[in-house]
Amino acid sequence: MKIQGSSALIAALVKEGVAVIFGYPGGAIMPTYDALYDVGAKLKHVLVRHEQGAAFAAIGYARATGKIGVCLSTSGPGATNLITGIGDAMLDSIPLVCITGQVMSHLLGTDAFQESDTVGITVPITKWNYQITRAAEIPEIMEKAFRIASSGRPGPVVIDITKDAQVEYFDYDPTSSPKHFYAYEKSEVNISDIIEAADLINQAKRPFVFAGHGIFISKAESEFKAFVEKAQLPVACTLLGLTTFPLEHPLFKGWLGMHGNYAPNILSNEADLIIAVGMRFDDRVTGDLSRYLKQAKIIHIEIDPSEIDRKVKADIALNVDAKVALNALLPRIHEAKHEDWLRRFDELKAIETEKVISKETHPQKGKIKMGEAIKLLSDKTKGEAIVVPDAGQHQMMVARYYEFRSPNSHISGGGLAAMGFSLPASIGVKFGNPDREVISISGDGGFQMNLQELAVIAQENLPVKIIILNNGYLGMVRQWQELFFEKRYAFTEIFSPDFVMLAKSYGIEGAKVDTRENLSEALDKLLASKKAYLLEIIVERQDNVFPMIAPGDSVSEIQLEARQS
Amino acid sequence: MMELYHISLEAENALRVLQRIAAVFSRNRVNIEKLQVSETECTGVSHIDITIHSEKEPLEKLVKQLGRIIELNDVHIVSKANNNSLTFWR
Repeated sequence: MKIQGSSALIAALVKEGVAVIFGYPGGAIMPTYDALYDVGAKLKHVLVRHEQGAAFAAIGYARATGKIGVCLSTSGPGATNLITGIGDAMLDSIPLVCITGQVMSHLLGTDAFQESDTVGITVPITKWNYQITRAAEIPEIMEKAFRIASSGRPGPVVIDITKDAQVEYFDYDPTSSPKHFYAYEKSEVNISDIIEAADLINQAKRPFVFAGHGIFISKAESEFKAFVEKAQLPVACTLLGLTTFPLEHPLFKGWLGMHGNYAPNILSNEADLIIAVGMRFDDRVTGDLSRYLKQAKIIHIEIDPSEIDRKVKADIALNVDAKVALNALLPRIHEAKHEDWLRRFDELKAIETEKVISKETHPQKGKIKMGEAIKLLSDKTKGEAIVVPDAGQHQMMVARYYEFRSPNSHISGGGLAAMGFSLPASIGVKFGNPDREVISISGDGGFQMNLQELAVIAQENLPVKIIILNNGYLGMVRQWQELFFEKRYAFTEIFSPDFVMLAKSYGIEGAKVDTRENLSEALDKLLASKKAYLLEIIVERQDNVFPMIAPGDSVSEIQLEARQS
Repeated sequence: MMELYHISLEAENALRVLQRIAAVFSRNRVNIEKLQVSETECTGVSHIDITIHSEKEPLEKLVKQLGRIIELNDVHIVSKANNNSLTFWR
């Protein structure tokens, strides 16, 4: 059967079970859009308003469903606009397949109209990329792209396809399977390493487990829970690991890092054994590496060999999938208690509650505080919503004060921490989870980076709830200016449009609230809406996020309030 | 201690593989002093020889990052100073 490359491309997406793609057409991808016209309901295309929105939406979809996110763009500006999203997917290990159109192959390298070297540009921020110039390559390359994006440590793949490859006819066999499968999964554990690791766990007096995003990726949540419960091991999550382990569980002791909880940061440097599961010791987690975990033995469970010993030297490295490692460890570890050690976490938590949490979530006077708004939202939704924060102060407040009660409900851009993430990502999250409440939370700065995606919410009738915490500043940068740049607020005060009128212009209902008395009712109205709804909350202008590990400080030096200068 | 290292790689003979390899070095601020790419008897496989100045620990990290490259089959490092073979990988 002779078909065109573009039809084969769409057939490959359908074969992979892709249900929704996010994209924006343009000259060099038009043949593929033409093929998409015929495919019907099997493959939903969502027209974004900027390709960065397509990438973030695909990421949101992938994060919330565990499936591969797919986006489609044209050559040149279409491809370069995807870059920020691809960078996010690279750092956060998100399975993403980006298909970009390219100029005719005979024009490659001529600075042709809308030509950019997409494959060259994306080399450092992709797990793999490839340029297709002949239609016959499509079936095998697409198969390979999907395998690579999702296997091992997932990541973004870019497939650049010239316009002539899209229109060319070739002999297509829909029943053929690819010549070879690419497999990266390491499923075999070294049993002597497992025995040695289990011995360390059984001997430890002050063991401490770090739970990372890898637990989601390997779908090892229940194995992880059984593991920590058996030996009564305290657990702290990384930012992306949040909700891998139930927050209400007595062994959950908070989250790690710069604005994480007091107890897990302090006690990182008092534990005698760290068991790090599916995490990469990001510098926002470790603080000053020269004063980090020096007293502890370290077991590092991590599928990517390049992350082993990269920042923190492991005594035992289990270079396999988290689920495989945990299953191998479970029968070999002993039941234990560690009561005194667990109590240490609770003692330090009480200090944080008194000095920070109560003041942030239940203030008595002044303007609305960010933490207060998030806590109230958490109470009203009973922690059951999927929350998609943007990047900045409010992102830390969400991680700190939204009391998640469902797994994989915290969709936050961690590594790249790109402003403008939330609104488009929440679109993808909602397409993946139409039955769950999805709440996008942004600051006034980040919201203005991708606000054009309101049009998608309107066009698709997506009941996404949008909250803007408006403090009139680029808040996190302002906080650093206050703390580390002698209050020289260089260009961080920011003007915003009337967000409620803006939403209305897209046909989206909205409201603005600026007093504590009216906050509860305003949130009720947001949550009661059956359609998209935007709530702008005017918050304290110069609030800071604490606790904080100042740059260059050790985790042991985490501050509950600003140091007196 | 900075030493001269000789790294030999076996990779798919494909476009962009060299760029991916070079990007790992440049990102880690390691300059390539000498580079040779040659075809092998095995169709579709090329042999790449790279010489760099490095210390041992950063070199090991760099080699692990090379391991992320899908098209790479094999890495072999030799320290030029004492001709000791350091790592066989894959």
